[in-house]
Amino acid sequence: MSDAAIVTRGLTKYYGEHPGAIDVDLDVRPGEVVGFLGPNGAGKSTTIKMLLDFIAPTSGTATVAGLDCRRDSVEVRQRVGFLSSDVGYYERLTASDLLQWLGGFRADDCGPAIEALAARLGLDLSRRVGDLSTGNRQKVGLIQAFMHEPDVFILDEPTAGLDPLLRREFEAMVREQADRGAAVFLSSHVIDEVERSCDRVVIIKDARVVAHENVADLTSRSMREITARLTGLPAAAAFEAIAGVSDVAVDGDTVHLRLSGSPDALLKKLARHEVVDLVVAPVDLDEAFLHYYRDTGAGDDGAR
Amino acid sequence: MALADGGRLIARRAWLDRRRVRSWWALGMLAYAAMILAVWPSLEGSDSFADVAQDYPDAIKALFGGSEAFDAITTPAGFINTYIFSFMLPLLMMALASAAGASLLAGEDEDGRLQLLLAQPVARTAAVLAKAAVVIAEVVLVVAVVVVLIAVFGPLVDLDVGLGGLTAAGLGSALFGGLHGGIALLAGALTGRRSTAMGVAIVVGVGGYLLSSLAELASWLEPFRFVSPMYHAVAGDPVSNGVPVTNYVVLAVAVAAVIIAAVAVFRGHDLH
Repeated sequence: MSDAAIVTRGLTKYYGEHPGAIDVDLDVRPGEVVGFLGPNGAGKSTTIKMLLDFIAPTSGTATVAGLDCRRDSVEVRQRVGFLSSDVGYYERLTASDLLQWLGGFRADDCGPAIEALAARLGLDLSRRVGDLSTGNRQKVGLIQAFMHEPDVFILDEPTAGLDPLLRREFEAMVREQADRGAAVFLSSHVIDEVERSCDRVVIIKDARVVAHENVADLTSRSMREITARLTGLPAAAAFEAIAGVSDVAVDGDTVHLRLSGSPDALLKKLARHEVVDLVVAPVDLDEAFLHYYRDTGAGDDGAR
Repeated sequence: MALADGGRLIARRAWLDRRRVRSWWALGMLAYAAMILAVWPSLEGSDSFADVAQDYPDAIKALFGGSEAFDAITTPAGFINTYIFSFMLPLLMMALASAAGASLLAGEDEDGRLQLLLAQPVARTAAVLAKAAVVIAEVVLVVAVVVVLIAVFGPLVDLDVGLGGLTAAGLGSALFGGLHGGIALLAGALTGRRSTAMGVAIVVGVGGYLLSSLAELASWLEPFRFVSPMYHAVAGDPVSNGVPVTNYVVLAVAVAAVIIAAVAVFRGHDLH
């Protein structure tokens, strides 16, 4: 796969007896956005750390732009824009000083790019990193990943701490980079974001890859948590009968349920009532896994 | 070359980060040295103090660099050796370098800053060497400050030892400190824990100090004193006799060895 930007084969990491990642195979091509989905502790960060040569694999191979992640680690990192919320910063520096200093490692003058990105994301560069809120720290991380226009992006939970408006801005940035020909690999545990920004997803659970999906396929199976307050007292049985509906609970005049797939049948049912309030929320991936992948892993999600 | 550039960026950042800590250390050492100088006029040629010093138990004399040195305590060279170079400056530089080495590698590993650093295109070797250079430079700077103070202000209180002897003794303290900075880097690369790294370096330093001191009192310990870095730093009384070449070469080789080991270990180390 000579034009693949990120390739891993059988990538495995054991921390003593405990598996961090087992036999992970990945392919991310230039121009593609691939999401890495999994519950907390599934192995996303472990896999990403091996790509960056932060930790050594127990076995398997990983290459970025055809270069071995371990042997040619410095050249790999020259081409990679990386973001992780695990990262620590030099708190006493201003955002500007920190970013300029980081830019120096690639001998680029990132000044204009830094300012443009800061304006786009709404970050005051003159503030000290230690004084920044979580969201603003995340912006510093995003700028540092994007400022040198890398060919490959490896982003671990890139939208953590960002408000919804900024998440949309980030999604636009990712699309622009993919259109420019960069390969983007990002991890998340929120299905909605992955659906909007990614072309494909790789799903990892209990250290193993359990599925490769196109986003379109995932959408058809994604879950929503729905709360509807009606006038009158609804009967649970009527809702349980609707296709795609599960986990129905009735509390006085309010119905709680989970919906997967098309909302059409449910909407038609609700339309026959007078609906006072309706809340539709995406279900966290952890819950979705409980529903779809219970039989692949080591049983219920009690153990992480 | 890319390797050197990244290393230089890391070194500069580390040096600037430690500005505040370093200033306090330099000030503290200056204050201590100034105090020692201020006390000298009342001790100079004082027979009563010389008598008291002679009567100190051997164990105490050993901890202050040995009874020979202690008996010369009312001479300028003996005084400055006992109160500054025989154990005080070496041990303080050991503490400074251990703290610096521990925080620059293991400390940054613990708080995630190493991830930030190693996400950049810079080799691990360059990173460790840059940090080691900062630790050594810091120790050299603080020692130089003390040496200059004594050389410049000593004569004002009639304590004229000569810059050559002071520099020779200072070099010993710097090597001693640098060695333990290297040990802290190595222990940090092995464990990834700042407190462990500092603890190991300090235990080695204090252990070596006790070994070298007590070797004078316990004959069975004498052959082992060559293992003690403190022995090599202070034996031969550099203030009076100049640079003890063999001893300092041993120390320099040891410093290089621990730093090379730290690089090797760090290259295989899993970050937090």
